[in-house]
Amino acid sequence: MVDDDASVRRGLRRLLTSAGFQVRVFASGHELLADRAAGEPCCFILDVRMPGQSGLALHEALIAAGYRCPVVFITGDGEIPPGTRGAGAASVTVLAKPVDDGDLLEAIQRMIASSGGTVAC
Amino acid sequence: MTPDTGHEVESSAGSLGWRYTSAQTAAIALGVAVAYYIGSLIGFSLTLPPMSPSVLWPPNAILTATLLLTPPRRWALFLLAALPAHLAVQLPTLGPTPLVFVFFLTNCSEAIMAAAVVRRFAGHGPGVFYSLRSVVIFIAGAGFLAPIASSFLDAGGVALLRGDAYWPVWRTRVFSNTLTALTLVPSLVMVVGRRWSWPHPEIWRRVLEAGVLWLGLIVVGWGVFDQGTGASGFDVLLTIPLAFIVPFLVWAAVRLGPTGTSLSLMTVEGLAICGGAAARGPFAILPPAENVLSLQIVLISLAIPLLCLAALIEERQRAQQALEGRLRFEEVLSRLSRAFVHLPSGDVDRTIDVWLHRLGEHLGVRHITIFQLSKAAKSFVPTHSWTAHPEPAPGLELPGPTDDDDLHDVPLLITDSGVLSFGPRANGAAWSSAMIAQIRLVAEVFGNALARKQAEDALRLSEAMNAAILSSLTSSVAVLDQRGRVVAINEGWSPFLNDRRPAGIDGLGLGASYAEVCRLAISADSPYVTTALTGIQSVIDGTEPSFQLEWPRTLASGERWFEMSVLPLNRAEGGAVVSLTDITRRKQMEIEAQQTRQELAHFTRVSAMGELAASLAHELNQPLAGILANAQAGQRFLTAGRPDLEEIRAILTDIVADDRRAGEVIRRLREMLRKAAPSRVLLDLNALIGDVAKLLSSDALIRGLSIVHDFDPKLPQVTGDRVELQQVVLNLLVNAMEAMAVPDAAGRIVVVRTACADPGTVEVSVQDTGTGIGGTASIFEPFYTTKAEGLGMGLSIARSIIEAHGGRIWAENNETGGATFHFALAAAGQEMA
Repeated sequence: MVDDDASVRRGLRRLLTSAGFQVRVFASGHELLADRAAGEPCCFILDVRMPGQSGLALHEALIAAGYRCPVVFITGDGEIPPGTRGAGAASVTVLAKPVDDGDLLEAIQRMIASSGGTVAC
Repeated sequence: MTPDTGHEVESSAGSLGWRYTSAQTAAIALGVAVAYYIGSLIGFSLTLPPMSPSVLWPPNAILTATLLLTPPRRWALFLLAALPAHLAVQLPTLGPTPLVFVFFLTNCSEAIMAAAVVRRFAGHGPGVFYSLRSVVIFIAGAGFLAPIASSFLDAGGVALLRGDAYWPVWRTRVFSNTLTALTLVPSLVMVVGRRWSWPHPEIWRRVLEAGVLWLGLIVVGWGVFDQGTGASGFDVLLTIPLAFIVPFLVWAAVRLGPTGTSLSLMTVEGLAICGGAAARGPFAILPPAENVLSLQIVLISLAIPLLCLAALIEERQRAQQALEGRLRFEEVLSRLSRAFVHLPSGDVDRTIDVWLHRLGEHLGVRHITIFQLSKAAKSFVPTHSWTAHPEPAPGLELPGPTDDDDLHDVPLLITDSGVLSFGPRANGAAWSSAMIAQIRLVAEVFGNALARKQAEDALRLSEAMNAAILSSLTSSVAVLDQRGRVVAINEGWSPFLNDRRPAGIDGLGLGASYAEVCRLAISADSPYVTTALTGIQSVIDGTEPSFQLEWPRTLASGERWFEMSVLPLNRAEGGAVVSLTDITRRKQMEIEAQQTRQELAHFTRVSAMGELAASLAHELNQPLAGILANAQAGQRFLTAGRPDLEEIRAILTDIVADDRRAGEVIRRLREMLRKAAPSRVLLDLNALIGDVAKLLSSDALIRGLSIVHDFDPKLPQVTGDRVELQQVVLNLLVNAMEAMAVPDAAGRIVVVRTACADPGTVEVSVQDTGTGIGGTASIFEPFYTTKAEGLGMGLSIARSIIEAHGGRIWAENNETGGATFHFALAAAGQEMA
């Protein structure tokens, strides 16, 4: 998960942890790309509006880097970011903050299931 | 004959004037010749029987009188004119002998000598007989010297050519010529030379008196000289009645002047000769030659003292008259001067007219006019005038010979402001220098009065002008002197006077002190009174160049505002001018404008907040998302059983923190939306800017910009209104971010700096790397905007806020691109540098 806001990071991490996921949080796309230790995750949760590299730019960088796992975009200003595409093996969901746990978890499960288990998670 | 006819031959002294035409000269010459002829015939007849030398020889007297009355350069002419008459008379009696010419020569020489001596030492004309000194000279010169000297020649001629004895002839000639000179010449000179004017009614009395005297003289003389001579042998007693004549002669000398005296003498002379010719009277008792001699001696000895007495009396009378005249004139002058002392300027003209009239009558002039210099006409115009109607009386006559016989000129006397012009004197009298000096005084008095009138009129005009100016002012104006006393006041104070009825003050009058001025203007119990009093005093003292004060006052017509303005009075002695103006309208307008500005600022703030709504929503969303996620995580933990209480506690702590964070966003929003009157509190600009930046953080994020702070950690505090200054910072930051809307690779950063430029000033600057600004001056004008939407009021409101805080705001383009906006405020407690 990448979000520049600390309270969002804390909250969502707890939420996902309580749902049984392992969560790794990053404050920016730059941190994420720098951290190559872990393998491909089940899913990316990306904040759209971030200083520096926005969530969309990060997504393209990840696709360029070969990541194929699904992405959940969370956005604070309620706008559906333009240019979201479901190209390639990655599928995309967009949720608005504040994010309801049911919506989030459901979206994650759905995308993982539809990706056909190509992604180990 | 009046003096103004073409004759002009007579001046004040009565001598025949210098200016007469050749026709007149010829007439005089003819007259001389005729008189000479007739005189000679008379002389021949004036002998006592049976045969004696002539008692009188008139021709000589005629010549002498002529020479005394005419200018010396004509003497030759007139003497020559007498020659034919002389020849006509003498040739038949004496035959063609040189004696005729000798006689002529001696006659002429006697006349010339007499006239020359008298002219040289005593003057000429009738005036010779009006003073003792000149009469004595006449007696000595014309009465003795000339006859004696010429008789030498005469006798010599006769002795030579006719062989008569020298000394008897000499003696005869001397006595005859002397008597003639002493009795005939004065009469001739005074009768012919005197100016005749129609006798004044007062002179009739004199004439009557003269007639009475003359009659008496004739009667007595007849009685004296007509006594028969008998053989009684007491003929000597006949001479005693002569004494009866003397009183008449003395009477004539005392009362009738030299003219009357010499005429009376001639009368006595005539009577005596008549008596003697009839062989009667006291002069018939002796042999003829001795009769003549005794007659001559008696008459001569009567003539000399009488002439002297008459001259003395005349002199004294004239002196007396002159003195009286002078005294009268001086009395007139002093009354005139007194009349003009303390004269109100309105009466000056009338008084001048009255006194011109009196003066004119007194001097006997034809007219008096005052000419004054008229600036408009650039010339002298007559302003006061008096003319005599009708022909005036002779008036005052001045005695004695004057320095210049020909003073017919009208004296023009220059005063300060004009010219006093006198017309000619009616009786042709001249102006003596003493009189001119006194008339100069008159002119001075008139001149001073006129000048004073002009000054008073000018002063009154200027005072009226000042009063009109004062009363036409709509403000209330009071002029104070250097002690704070009221010296002038206008009518504008009436609203104050009507409104207050303070005990003991009837109203504001001259001499009131400025404390009363203040108490009337400001309510006595208002705190403004002290300020006003000190302010006015400081201007009067000169410690302050001016003083202004505004204060509210509740009058019957409602609450009104007044402004007092005190300025120093621009004169050497000092003082001040206090003016009150009703500024209620202005104050109302100011208050309304202030309210409008505040409402506009509020409106702008609100709309700015509206424009930030999206970013504010985003700002709120972050903590809300955190709260929701944390809470739902907590729920899950609890439903999963085995809750980790520490985790739960951490979750709740985070929720509270997030909530507070959201509350802060709301607080900031609310603050900007506030609409309250501005207050003045101490502010830390760093914290204030930080708050605004937080408000804009989401907006910056959305735009993909960042706001960087560069704060001076030791920035002094400023005094101001928090909301208004936040509005300014907000406006500048938003403008900076919008200027960088163009995508630019080179850092999209807004830098906000605070610095302490100099010890008393705090400066804030907002720097962007945007497009820069076009016109640095006009961007602060209202309705100036480069944006498609918006009013363009933001910067102009920002300027009015900063200026209301006593600061400055300005903008400049950066060399490295973009623009920087600055504003500077005074540190708390300081004045802006």
